[in-house]
Amino acid sequence: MDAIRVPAPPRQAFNMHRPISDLIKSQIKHLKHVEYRLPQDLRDSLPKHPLVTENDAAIYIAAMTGLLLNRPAAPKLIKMPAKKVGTPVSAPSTRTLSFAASVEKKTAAKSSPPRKKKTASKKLTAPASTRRKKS
Amino acid sequence: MLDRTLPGIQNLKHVVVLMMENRSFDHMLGALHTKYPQIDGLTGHEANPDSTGEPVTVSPDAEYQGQLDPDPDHHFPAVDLQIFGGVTTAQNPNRAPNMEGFVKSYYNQQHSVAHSHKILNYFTAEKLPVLSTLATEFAVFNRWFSSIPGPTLCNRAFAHYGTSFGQVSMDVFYWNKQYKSIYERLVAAGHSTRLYYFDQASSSLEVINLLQNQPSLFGTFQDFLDACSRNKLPEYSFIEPNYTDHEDPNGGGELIASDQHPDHDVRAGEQFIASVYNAIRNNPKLWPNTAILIAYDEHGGIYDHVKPPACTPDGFVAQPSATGTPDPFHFDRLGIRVPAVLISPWIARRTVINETFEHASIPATLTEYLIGEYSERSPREIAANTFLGYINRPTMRSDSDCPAFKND
Repeated sequence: MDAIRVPAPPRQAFNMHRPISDLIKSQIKHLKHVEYRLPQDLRDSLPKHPLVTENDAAIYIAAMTGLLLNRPAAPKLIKMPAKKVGTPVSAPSTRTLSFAASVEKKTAAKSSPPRKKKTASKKLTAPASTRRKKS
Repeated sequence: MLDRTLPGIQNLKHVVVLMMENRSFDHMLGALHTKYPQIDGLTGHEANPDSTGEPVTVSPDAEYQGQLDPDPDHHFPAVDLQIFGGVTTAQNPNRAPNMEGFVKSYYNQQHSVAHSHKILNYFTAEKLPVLSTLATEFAVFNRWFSSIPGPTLCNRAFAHYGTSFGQVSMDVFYWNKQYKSIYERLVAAGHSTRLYYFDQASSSLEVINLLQNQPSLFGTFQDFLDACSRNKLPEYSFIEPNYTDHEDPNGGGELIASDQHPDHDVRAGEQFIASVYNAIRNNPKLWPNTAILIAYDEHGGIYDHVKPPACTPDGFVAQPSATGTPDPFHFDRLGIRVPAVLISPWIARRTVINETFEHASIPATLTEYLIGEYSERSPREIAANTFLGYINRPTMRSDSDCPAFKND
């Protein structure tokens, strides 16, 4: 049986500035629910940007997930400029901060004892089949 | 009771469940009925009245992206309208599902008559080469329903716990410790299991309990692929797709959402399904002893013609304040039908399963297969049908007899 070709979506299908769906709003709401019960120093390490677009959400979700897994979030995350359309999940903060800098600084400064080794992923790379080349 | 003398079951070592987002059976697989009449899809004559009262028929014009924006409403009150066509219990205490409220429901969001008709669009088989091929080359479920006529999180809870603990919404903030997740049960019984989310920036939808309290259960999709290539796949794997378009945090480029949630491009989900299948199919040490289930969490507000059946009540009641309708919900009927496909080289080509399934069938199946007798489960899970018995060919299909996919 010959391999069946599976067409890829076109470039324009990707839109990280798409306003977040109800699903992602709920995912963020759940993470916020957890965040509010974290110690203040950990909360301070999280990005505070308005969560309007999918990429906005991804940056916050990555940070919170990393925190829950007790490991540094991605070192190179950069807050992407986004078209501000739609309704933010949380009230916009007046603070605009570099997520990468804030997370790295806080996680590096932590002196809490290491927890047992996690079996979750050690890297954030995605499989080639789902990655698209940067233009 | 699972027949453990079946050769496919004797060989079985791994079960992999991939749960996609928000598409109905008819929308994705309904077109297969024309070529395979045993598949309970569309004749092309199914219709819904629109907001003007004119009947609108289903149409094979579904597009990969751009057609279902805004995201069709699939919260409890909207799904109630979709199923019952707008008839309330006040109007008719004995109302029955008629599946005639989908166009009306979509009209409510944008008040565009023309746009509301798009909720009846479905894909031709040629446009979905992966899902259509897997459905016809292995086993397709004619009657796999979402567990609740409502949105994502309460439905996904059934896949993890066999219940949503009385929730019919996205606000699953608390859980009843009476029922443990399938992962907790398996770990306690000495079995290996992982939930694989796509990456840290997409993460899991199972935040409140498992990600928060048991992060060691989780891995990324890359971890899944690595586990496959190293023959270290757990006995049970649950995979979540990428839920957002975002930049790879490691600078590897753009990562497109693969969940097929409207309005994400359906082709990215097709490629993702193929990548899960290929990871197993292309490893001769995994393919003979792994079963893959692909299921969608709920219908996403999109049309399906099959009336959801009654089911065993779950022991919970959602009050009208929670359902957003005049009536309480007793968890005594299922949600709308979704695509579900079971894959193994021990399954005969063009198997069509006509028993009723729902997401509680997932923990029910894993519990039956790996644990055995286990009473601390929800009434819904205890009553749910299990699906490994369909891995029932006396001999394994040859490699050349099973499909292969190549992602562009």
